[in-house]
Amino acid sequence: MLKSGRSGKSKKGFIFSLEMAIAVFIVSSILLFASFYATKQTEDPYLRLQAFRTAEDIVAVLDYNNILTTFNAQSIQDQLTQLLPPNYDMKLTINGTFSENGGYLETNQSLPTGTFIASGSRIIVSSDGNQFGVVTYYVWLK
Amino acid sequence: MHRHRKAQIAITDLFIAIFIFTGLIIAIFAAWNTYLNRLEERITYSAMLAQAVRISDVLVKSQGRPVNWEANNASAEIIGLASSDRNISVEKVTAFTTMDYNTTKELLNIKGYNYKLLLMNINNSALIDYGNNATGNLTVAIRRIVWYGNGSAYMDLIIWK
Repeated sequence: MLKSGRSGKSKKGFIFSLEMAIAVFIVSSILLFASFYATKQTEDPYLRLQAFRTAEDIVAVLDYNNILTTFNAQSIQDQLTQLLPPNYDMKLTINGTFSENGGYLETNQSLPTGTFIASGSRIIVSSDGNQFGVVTYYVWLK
Repeated sequence: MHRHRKAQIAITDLFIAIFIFTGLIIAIFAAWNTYLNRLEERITYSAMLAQAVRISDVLVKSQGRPVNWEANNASAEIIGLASSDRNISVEKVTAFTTMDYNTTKELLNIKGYNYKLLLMNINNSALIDYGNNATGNLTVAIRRIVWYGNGSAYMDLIIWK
């Protein structure tokens, strides 16, 4: 009888320990999920929008500067480097009626993988009106 | 004697449980409060940033209303500084800087915040410095790249509270 009582107590203790372990596991999981989503929420949603606006601004300025219609990849790259904020990277391609390289040029950055890339395009016309092209720009956060 | 010891153990157990429970409740409330404050700050920050984006867009893309408002500041209904997209007009900027700060705030629809507008050449030397310096504890800044006069320039809009 005494033996059976001890054994009963021991089993009860085991059940409580198991229950506690399950409770701790559930609470920890909930806290982990909550902190993960709370951290995710703190990512700035405007960063991507700002990257896109910066790229739009730069292409517009390069257009006013008449650099894009030189259709010279190196000159475009130099101006781009000068204007681009340090936390961004950008690539331009131009398809147009200019004769060099079969009417296609691109700046020397390569597109990254596994990161968000914003892109857009702008139509450019040379100041004499004889040549035109489509600039496609890609921008991403470094 | 045996029963008495059992009761003592139960009381100790109760105190430990109460201590752990109280600690847990305090920790949960502290975390809750921290997240609530962060969320509130985040909402204000997002609202300020959205406003900065909207205002900077109007300034760099629009001529304003009427389009020649710079000829008569008092006629301005909407302030725009561009003569064309991202091409900032020197005349409009000059007219803007002669306007009263509170009038510009009203025309730019900046409610509850203060602002500062900086125009700099790409070597970061200031060409135009207008508005109030940030002295608040929440500040957002947005940089636009524009064509001003005969060269590229940065236009920084700083909104603070």
